[in-house]
Amino acid sequence: MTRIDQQIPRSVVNGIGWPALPDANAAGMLALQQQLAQSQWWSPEIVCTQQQTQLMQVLAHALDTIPAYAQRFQMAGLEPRVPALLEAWLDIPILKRSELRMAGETFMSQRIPPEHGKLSKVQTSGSTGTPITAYGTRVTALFWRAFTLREHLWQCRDLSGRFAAIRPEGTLLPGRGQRAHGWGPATDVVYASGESFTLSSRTDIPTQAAWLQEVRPDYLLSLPSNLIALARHCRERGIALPNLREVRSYGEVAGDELRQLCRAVWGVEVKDMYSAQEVGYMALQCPEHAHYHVMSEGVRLEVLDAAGRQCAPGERIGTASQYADVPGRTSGLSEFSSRALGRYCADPTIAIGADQTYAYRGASGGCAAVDDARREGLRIPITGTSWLSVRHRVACRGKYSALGGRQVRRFYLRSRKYQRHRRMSRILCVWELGGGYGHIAALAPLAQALRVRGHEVTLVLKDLFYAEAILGTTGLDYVQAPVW
Amino acid sequence: MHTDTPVIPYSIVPGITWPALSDTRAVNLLALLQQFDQSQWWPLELLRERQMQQAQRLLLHAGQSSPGYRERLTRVGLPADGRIAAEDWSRVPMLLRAELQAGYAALRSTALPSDHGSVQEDHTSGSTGRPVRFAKTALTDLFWRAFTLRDHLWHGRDFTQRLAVIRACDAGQALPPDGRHYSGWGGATDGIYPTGPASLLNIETDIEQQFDWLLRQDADYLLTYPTNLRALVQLSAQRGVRPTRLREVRTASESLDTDLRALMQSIWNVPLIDMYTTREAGYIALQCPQHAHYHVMAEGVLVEILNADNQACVPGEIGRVVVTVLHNFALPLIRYEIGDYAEVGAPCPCGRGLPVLTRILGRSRNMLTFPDGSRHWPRFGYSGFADIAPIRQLQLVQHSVEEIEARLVVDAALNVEQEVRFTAHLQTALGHPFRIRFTYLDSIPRSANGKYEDVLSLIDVDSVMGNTG
Repeated sequence: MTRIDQQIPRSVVNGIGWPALPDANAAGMLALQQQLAQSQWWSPEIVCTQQQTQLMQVLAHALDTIPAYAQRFQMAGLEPRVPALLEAWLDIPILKRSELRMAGETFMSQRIPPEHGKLSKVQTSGSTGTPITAYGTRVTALFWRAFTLREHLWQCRDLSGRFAAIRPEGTLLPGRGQRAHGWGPATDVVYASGESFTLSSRTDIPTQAAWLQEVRPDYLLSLPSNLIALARHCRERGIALPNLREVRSYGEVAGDELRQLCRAVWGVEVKDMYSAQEVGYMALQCPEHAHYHVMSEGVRLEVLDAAGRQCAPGERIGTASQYADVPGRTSGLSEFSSRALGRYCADPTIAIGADQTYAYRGASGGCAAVDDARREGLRIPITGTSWLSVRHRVACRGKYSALGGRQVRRFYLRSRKYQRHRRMSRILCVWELGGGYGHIAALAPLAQALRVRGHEVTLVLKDLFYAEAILGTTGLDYVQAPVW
Repeated sequence: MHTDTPVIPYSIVPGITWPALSDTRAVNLLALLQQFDQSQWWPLELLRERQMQQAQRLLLHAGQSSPGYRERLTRVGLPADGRIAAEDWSRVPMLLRAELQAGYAALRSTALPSDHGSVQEDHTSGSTGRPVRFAKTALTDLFWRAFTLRDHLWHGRDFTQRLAVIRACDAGQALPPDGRHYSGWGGATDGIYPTGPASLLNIETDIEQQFDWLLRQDADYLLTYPTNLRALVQLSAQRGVRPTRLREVRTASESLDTDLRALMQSIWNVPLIDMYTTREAGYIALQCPQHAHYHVMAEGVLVEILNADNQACVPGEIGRVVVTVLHNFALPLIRYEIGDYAEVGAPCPCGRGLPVLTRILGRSRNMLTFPDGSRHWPRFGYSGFADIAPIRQLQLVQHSVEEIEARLVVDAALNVEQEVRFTAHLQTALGHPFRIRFTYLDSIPRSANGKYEDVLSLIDVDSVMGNTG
């Protein structure tokens, strides 16, 4: 057993085993890791300055090669010049997923530098149910892999272990596991790694559990809601995964319930990641804590309140969403317009839980938040990007499960909107219309809390196949969400 | 002293400045640095294991391609092809400096792997003027540059600032009054990181001219030899002026007297960072970022500090420095007894697993021999000189176990009273009532390699130490 931080990369020079002299691709990856290892300890001011420098490049490229952006800025009353745009950053209109979808290829760069490599297509249905098509380049793929490897390095994994992933990706057929040598391109370009196993998350939970017993993984990756269902199933059936050392989660909020279940049922900790297909990695769980560090070398992430202001450290709840661009990535150099523009609303429903904080580790979001964080002893709560929209029904579009049931109830019952609509009795909870079936477990505590107070609660779910396993004992009603 | 200026490599991809996507030369270096970042925290046992694996690869290569090493292995009953077990490492014969001088041709590899790059022959003139030939490759140069960068990064230098270097140069090079000027800091950084300018001055320059040059450069960083630095600092104190922007001084190539650090702090108020390097073996140790002692560059050299019984010294013990250069396949230096002495240190509180050397004590011929047969490196008590007389330069030459010649460079010869007081001072500092006789010189020249030896023993050192080399 060798931790990755003690593992030697593959060396390609005769007679040289250590330190390794790797091939060009591996050296490129390690060179990025070396920079990430440095920048994670930089002061907030330096991080901010470097982001600004990269943002200038992104904006300049967008202005130069994508006419739609210049028009967009002008329509917002902004001068379409880089310095002016940077100064007026908060006035740059936020690009929403729906806009991106409607725009088609309008935001596509007309002159992608050839050094960025060929385009690859990314299709994501997303948690909001607004499917979009985005494009990345070899540069964006490289940064994606670099952050993947950073996460392995941060968590000191043993790459010789067996890695199992249960994913929703459409190319996988339910019930049919796949096996491969190596954990994937992020690791395999540099290191030798063990076997990996992949299964579709559309596979029913009992079959997933049986598959895991067969695979005997050291590491398991899946969506939080799937993991919760699996853990409950394993607990009920007394299924052990004796080799399991760690659970990795992504795509949904990893709340307390998930962490507690994994600890109780499998005796392992959860390491969570915050990413979106079209944006890349936005935050990774701290190696030493349960909160997250923003991948500031790849994205500028703003956490905004309802008025579009940056949330202050310590701010617990607000109507907020996060906006990201990717200054170190294709950043408008590909057809993926949000990357060129910046201030792209990555997904207003994806959030880092409101009770979760990230300790400053040199990488962080906006400068103001960082400044405040320093004053507060280097801890920055990421405000919940939860969005509670109440018209005549409550559309629960926030990750309240991350708060834990009691906190959710306390927050919700205090909210002005609730006070205004407290008499309402029929509530529809909708969330996940995307590629995964997830968020059922995440919604359940809120739905139950509302039901306890006499409201009629119905959940609209992407995939009813799993609903019974998760909601069977709750008594909540659920119906099929629209199928795209 | 850590800088607030981030160190970001050049990027070659349009539109991407940070994190940089660099060229091949840069990524090879950065890939090594990334590994160094990891390995510096490994436990000592793991470092030893990895070193030994690489040392075995080197020995295998030497056994298969170097007639000299085949003969040496056969001589002690080890397989001539170099396939030995780790536990037999201590049986591999040590390579003495004299053996390298005499047997260079036989020790060279006849089948260097082509991917180690071009071979360059060089020599170190050595303090005695007896040259030691050696060969290096593009690959060993890569490691040299990587360790140079590690030192920069460890000590948080600001690459955008100006560097001044005063060191040995080829004859007629970098002469006063201007020296030579460069747009970058040198091979380790040029083309990898943007840097400020650098200036170089030949160390043979008169110290007054050196100091004037240094003031003109107004550099942020200075690199020179310890004895030269002492002279500069003393002159600075006399003139009451100091280089205004200077924020750190680096030293290399000579053993460092402990009081020089204090002197630097008191007069220039800047930290002194020392390095232990040799031309033939490369970087051997760098000063810890948090402490005054040294970390062995275990990723590049396997260093053994051996006592008189050829056993590994324990912390606090002084022994001979024996080096195996892990990546030089052109001229393998395997268990090369470099001629220096060092004191082994306890594990460093900084947490790095890299072995610790507390002091680098220089060569055995810089040791004084005492009448009882014991030998050690003397401390002069430099700080007490000024109370006795304005002494500009001093060299002690031991002619016998009782007699030491004190060679002095002074503005005016010491009077009788001053000589008496200085004799007493030296006797106290040296710990023995040696007979001291004074010689006055206009200057004490540096040796052929530009180094200055403030103690020179003319007693047959090797016979005393039981060495053959």
